[in-house]
Amino acid sequence: MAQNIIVQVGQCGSQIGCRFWDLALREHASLMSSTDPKKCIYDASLSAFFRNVDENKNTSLSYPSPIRTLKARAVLVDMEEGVLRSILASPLRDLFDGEQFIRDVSGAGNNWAVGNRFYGEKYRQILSDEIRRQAEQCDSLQSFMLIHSMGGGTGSGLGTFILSLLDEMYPKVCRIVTPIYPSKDDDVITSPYNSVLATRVLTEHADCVLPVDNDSLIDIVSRCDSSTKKNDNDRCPFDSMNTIVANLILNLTSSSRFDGPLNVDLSEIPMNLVPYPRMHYLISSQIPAPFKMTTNSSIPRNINQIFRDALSPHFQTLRVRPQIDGIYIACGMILRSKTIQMSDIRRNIDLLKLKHMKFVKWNEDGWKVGLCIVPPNGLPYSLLTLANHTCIKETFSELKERFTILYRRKAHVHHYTDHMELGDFEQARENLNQLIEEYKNIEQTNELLDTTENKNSSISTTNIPRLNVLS
Amino acid sequence: MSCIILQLGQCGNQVGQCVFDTLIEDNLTHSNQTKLSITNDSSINDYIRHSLDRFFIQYENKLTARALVIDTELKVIEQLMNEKSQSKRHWSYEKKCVIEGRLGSGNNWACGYRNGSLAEENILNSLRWQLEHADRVDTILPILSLAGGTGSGLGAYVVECVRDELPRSFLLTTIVVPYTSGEVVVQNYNSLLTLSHLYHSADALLVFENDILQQYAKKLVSYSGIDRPTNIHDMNNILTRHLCSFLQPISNKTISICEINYLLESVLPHSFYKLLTLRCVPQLSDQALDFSTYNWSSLIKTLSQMYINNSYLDERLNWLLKPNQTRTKSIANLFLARSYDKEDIDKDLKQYFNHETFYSSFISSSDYYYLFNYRDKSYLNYEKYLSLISNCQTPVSALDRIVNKSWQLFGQKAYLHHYYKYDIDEQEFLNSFVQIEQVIKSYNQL
Repeated sequence: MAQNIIVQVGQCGSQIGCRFWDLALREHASLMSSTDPKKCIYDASLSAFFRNVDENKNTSLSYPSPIRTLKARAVLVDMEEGVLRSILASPLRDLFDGEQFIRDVSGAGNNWAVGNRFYGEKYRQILSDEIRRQAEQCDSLQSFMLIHSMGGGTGSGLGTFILSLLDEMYPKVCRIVTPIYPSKDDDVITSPYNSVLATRVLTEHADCVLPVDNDSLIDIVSRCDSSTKKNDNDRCPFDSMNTIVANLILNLTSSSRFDGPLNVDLSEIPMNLVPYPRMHYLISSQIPAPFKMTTNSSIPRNINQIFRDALSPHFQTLRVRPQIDGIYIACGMILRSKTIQMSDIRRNIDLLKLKHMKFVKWNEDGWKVGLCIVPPNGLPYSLLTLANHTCIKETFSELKERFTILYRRKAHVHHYTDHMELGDFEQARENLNQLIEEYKNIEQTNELLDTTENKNSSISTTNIPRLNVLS
Repeated sequence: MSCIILQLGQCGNQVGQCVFDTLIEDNLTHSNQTKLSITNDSSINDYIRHSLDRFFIQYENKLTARALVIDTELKVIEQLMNEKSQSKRHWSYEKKCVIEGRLGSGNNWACGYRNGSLAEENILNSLRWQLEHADRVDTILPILSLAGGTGSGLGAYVVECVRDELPRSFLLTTIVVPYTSGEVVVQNYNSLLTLSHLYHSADALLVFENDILQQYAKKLVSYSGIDRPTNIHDMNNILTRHLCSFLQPISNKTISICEINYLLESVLPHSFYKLLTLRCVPQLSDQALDFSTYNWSSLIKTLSQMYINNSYLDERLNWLLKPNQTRTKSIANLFLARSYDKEDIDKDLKQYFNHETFYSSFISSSDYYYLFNYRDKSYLNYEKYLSLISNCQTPVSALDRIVNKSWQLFGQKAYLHHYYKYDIDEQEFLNSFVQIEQVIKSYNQL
């Protein structure tokens, strides 16, 4: 099985990362017998994220072998001490070697330029050494998963620096990023700057991005959690929100870790869902919303209901409306369930395609389905939908607007120009514009294809006729 | 004399394993034992001996399959080679002939092709090992599916290598065309590239389609009375039964046991027409077999109607179609009849298959079809089994579909960057398009 390395950057990234390791361990533990330690074997699925280390001899064991000490395949980066220190105090500390922590004291001050340029240069050698060390401990490295926020300084700045570093060092290894976009009324005033500057790097260097929006996470939590009273009315339920994102990564990798009739490796996801290299933003949604053990009554039992919910905007991690505007370029579904069969999935997909989902004309069969027989911990099933949909341009347009409001006045720009030039701002905005144009282009081309078909005209400018063999 | 099977990718490995199991099963079943006394014991022994010699290396009562197991992921190979499944079988795979990678090909033909070049040495070494353990190898049988990355990409590379290494042996590639509705989004690209490369290197392509196999499996499951959805095993079973009916020893009037390439020479008269399809009757589930008897003329009539309807299944046929309304034309047909009776079927065959409308105009009537028989033993549980291998227009619709969809994607330049990463550029795609369009056109002109 292929191995993946998680790189968690910044406060947000570290917290989500830790939640992820916690959940991953729980998941694997629930699959092994708890009474007989001899049966706890370090197998292929564990080796995707963990190493098995014999502490006494200080060597790593390959699978299959009995579990001694598990070490996570991860690199933890933060320029402030708080979060990393709390990780070292928590029960998860044994998962990490000291070298996997890369830290500094003063933080990046919510400044992308400081994170990317200043700390990037300062820690470049250390970062590349640690990444190389982790990669050498892998048999077959399949992907890097990056988790960081876009609004802050370390996460967005240093995180995107690491992304371009990974592209340089390991161009053939898949890079999947889960960036957390800030909510509209975020505490950090410069978050639009940081987000747009970081988005540019994401567009250029990532293979696949699953953006998550804080706003929608709050929506999901509040909708599903109406029973509990909020302690602080102003505080965001960060714990639950982190759990949702951690589960996203868990479900994404489930098919490559566990067995199933239809396996989807991580490298197959960009291959099938990303037709153009820059348009690799996938809108994700999970049914049921996994942030705590919900009672059985709230989980729909009907299989068809699951698929219908998958299209509902209530479970999306981004605030977009794919049903209303825009068009599907490609769609992937990863189902984790013991009982649901391929034929059920096929039938439902046919129904959805017919009634609810509009695909581009040239990719009507743009579906990728994965089936894993191991359901998530505590739930009977879980469905993860990844959609490459043009409505994501709305998110980018909103981001651009927030950026423009600030940039018009050049507010706070002087903090950035210590480390970078003003032209970088322009370039980043231009890049974002281009991205939005590209998505619009797809929609327009599709409309052209649609209308030429409807008019039944033999001369169509957008539909190239097939090669004709002259006999 | 001997054939080596190359199991390429997940599909190839699953089907390959099934093939060996079915071959052994066939050798062990004599359904005529219960009904008649065995008339020709020595002939049956000959049959079994030839079959085992063709596909297995026999040494000290152990059977080792003449096969290479090649995949870039560990999952399927582990299933094949683990203790539990080995113990259920009477035969085993040779460890030296198992070539595995770790990373997979990510549904990317270009990645599979590159994995092929990386594993070339290992593969050729294992092939040489197999060649050393065989007296004479005439046919190499790769089995692969077109949709994924390994079977298609790595498979195409391996077939090219084998062709270079053994220019005189016969390469019969069994390909599985994916579902129309899509298992993998880029399957049409992968299929297109594989087909064009295979058309160059292989001598013949035996085409199976997942859509048809699924329909067939559904029919069988519904006949058996058990209410369950069809799964991959059902489909693999059907494919293997069809394939083995053609791989097992067979003879004609002059030669007692014919080689596979001798059989196929008759059905490949022209080097540009390489697509073969396999239709078999009767089409029954195991449960129904015990209760049915057939006679040859009804089987042949059904087969001819299937041919006229351009179908692989014997249901929903339009019996009103006359031979001159046939929906498919062929260059040559090959009949393989297996049963334990000695009835002569020449007359029936002549009545139903000697129509000139069935065949292309440049074929002379003496070359319309050929018949091979094995009449001393039944095939598996079937009292009578008739296989028809035709070099006809039937698979062209699948090819047409594949080219159509790939052209649509190619026109939008979609997904191409994944292939550029591994040095497969636009020109490669265009060459493939040209090649397959030529194939489609030449078949349509029959």
